[in-house]
Amino acid sequence: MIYRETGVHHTTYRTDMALFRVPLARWSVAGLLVVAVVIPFFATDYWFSAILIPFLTFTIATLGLNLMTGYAGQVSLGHAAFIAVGGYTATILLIYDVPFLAAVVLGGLVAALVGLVFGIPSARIKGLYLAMATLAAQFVLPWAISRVVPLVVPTGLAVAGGDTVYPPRPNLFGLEIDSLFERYFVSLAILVVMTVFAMNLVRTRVGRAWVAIRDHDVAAKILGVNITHYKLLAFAIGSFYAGVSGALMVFFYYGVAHVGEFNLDLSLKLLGAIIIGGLGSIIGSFFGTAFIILLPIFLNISLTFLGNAAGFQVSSGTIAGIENIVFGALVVVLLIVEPLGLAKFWQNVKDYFRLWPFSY
Amino acid sequence: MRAKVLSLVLLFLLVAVAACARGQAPAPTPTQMAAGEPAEEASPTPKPPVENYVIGFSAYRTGPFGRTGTPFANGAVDMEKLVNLKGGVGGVPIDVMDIETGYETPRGVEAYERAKATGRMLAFIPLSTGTTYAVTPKAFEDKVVVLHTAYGISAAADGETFPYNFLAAPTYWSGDAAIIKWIQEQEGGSLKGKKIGILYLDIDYGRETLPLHEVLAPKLGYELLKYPIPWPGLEQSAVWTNIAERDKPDWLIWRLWGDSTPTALREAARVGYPMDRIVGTYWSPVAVDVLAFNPEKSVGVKHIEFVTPGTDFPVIQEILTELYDKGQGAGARDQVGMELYNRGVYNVGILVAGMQIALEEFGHPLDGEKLAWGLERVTPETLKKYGMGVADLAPEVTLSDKDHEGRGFVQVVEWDGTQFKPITDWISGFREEVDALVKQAAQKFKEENPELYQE
Repeated sequence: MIYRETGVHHTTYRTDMALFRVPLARWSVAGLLVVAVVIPFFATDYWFSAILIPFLTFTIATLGLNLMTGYAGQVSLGHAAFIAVGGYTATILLIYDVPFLAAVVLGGLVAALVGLVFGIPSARIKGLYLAMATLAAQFVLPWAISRVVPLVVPTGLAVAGGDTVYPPRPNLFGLEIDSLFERYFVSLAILVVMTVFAMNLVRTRVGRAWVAIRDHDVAAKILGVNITHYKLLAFAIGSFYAGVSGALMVFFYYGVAHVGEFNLDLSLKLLGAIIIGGLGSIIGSFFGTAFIILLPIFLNISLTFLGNAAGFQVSSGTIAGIENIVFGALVVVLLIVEPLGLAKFWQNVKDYFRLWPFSY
Repeated sequence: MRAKVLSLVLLFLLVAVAACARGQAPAPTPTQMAAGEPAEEASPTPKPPVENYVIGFSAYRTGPFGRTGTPFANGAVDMEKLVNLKGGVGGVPIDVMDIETGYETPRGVEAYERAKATGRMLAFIPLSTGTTYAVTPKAFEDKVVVLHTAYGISAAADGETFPYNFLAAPTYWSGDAAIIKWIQEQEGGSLKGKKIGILYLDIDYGRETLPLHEVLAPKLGYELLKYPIPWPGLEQSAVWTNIAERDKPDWLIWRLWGDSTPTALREAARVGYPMDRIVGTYWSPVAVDVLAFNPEKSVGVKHIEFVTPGTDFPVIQEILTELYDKGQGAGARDQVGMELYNRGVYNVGILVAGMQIALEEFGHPLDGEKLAWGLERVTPETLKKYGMGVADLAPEVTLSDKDHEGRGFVQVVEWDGTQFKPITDWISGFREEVDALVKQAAQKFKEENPELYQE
């Protein structure tokens, strides 16, 4: 009764092809965008730097990984390394006075190129073996960055140590992107564009080819899908997203390009995010990022609050321990209750309300 | 189906609780306090002008470096309790907001923002180089002191370029320079022809002092041998075979950290490299690492300290009697007096000293700028007067508006089988070369970040 396709008739190709086919879906997405635009006027500094901006920047990376692993089935443990490549490239380009948007896009393209190179093994291997090959990327790329950056960054522009680079203030069409407010909007705009692109991509031939490859690549090959081409495309596009995300992370979140941030930990976190969020779904990337990035913060704050409310000062170590336990338990429970992730959860809710008040 | 929807509802409830908690947490109370109950209690002491002074602290008791982070965090928390027992700073208690971050920079940044949201944050202790880098530009804008003792941005020794970053402890360059000086003394005054190896993690931190050695080695005549170990440093057999069989350096300087240290100790024992020829930097090997490997086999290994380890200092004894004997200690009693523990105590102590010096001049309420002013007036005498006893731990620290390092005095401490004991007095070395490097790095930072200096 609430979310239903009955009564919605598509009489033109245009409406039939629309991303959101049901009025309720259109209204909710519009409402979400309105909320996203209005929140910064009420948000405090803390909300921006600890919650909103990291959420936006990490989601782009998660989207890329979902396209690569969720849709195309190419397991990648090296995503953080591609993020690093994009971040450093964009930073170096910005130092050389390349315009901001061009720097971000070029950062993405360079990351795509590197991702392509490390995706070449996918022509021959898959699954866990491919994961090992991408793990190699995770170790080799930060090491390579560490070596190359001091050579490329002009003298006088790297902090002692060589591979930590502070990017200059980004400048978009003459407006310096300085305050958290501006950073939020630029990140939001880029995220929206990339999400729409991803949503469309998965509905095209490319998306269908990816799903075919994920489900049974031999069958896909027999049907005439050029699997090598599409696998490489998956790596390239996934890494492009990672590169753009890296550029935004360095400019707007960390404020500094430091190769130690983009380690195996981050790769595993992103992989966890797409698994919990839902492999092979766009909205799953959003849910997964929120879960992995934001939930620990919420747990920490609420546990501290509960501890203080109960009247005793709990040490931060204990809180961290409880937080880990709760987080781990939540992951386990979630995956038992709904192995297909939070996106499937959401789908269940929508399906329920499609039929409500009937149950079938 | 119902269960699935219910669990979703539960999830939303959890988020809602957390959101309420977030809304509750940093509410400023002085106005509430003043307005709420003025005449209810005829209290003899006047209401303090500020509720408390907040020191943000990105602690890690979990995560990859939890072993080294725990005693530090406990030291800081215990010192906070002691300071508050003694009346705080001018009657105002301090609040060391220790927020668990597991050494992750995003969480460190979040901890900074959370402490800043209280509106009363004077200083932040990042305890991680990555977090220091991320937080420093923010500190310029928010005018908050960032205290990074013996880690972080070494160029911050230049107080003019970094008005809010304080080391109050020697930089890595000062440390290595002092090590070379000490080794020179041990070798009878001349290093000509000697071989000194540097075993370092092949990351920023490990490579940081190579430029210094590349300046000193030709000057003093020693042969510099480099032994990089790729992160995380759990596999070192190849390097140690080179050390023991091929090169046989006379001395080995260590720049490791975390789990790579026990591995290195194990390898050293395996190849038979003499332990007493190993001198590490401040973070490796530390007591927890030696205990993790084998205390008996590590006798003779040394590292440099900026805070004397041990328990026979009045401030540590006070912590033991006032807190631990009454069951109020933050951690294990046998960690009290460890070098990492004393560093935590020192971090809080020197901030308190800065606050009290500033208080004499400005009165309540204090802020980050005033604290920076106060810290720049820390000398051995003022630290003795205002440091609540931490002057005994680090008696040779002199800060100024040009020098946020403290002249780089270190002590060499040696493991005697049960603990690290100082074997030298406070030494420093090659100040000229170190100052030149600091100046260069500070200049680089200034060129790279002109927007921070625009006002």
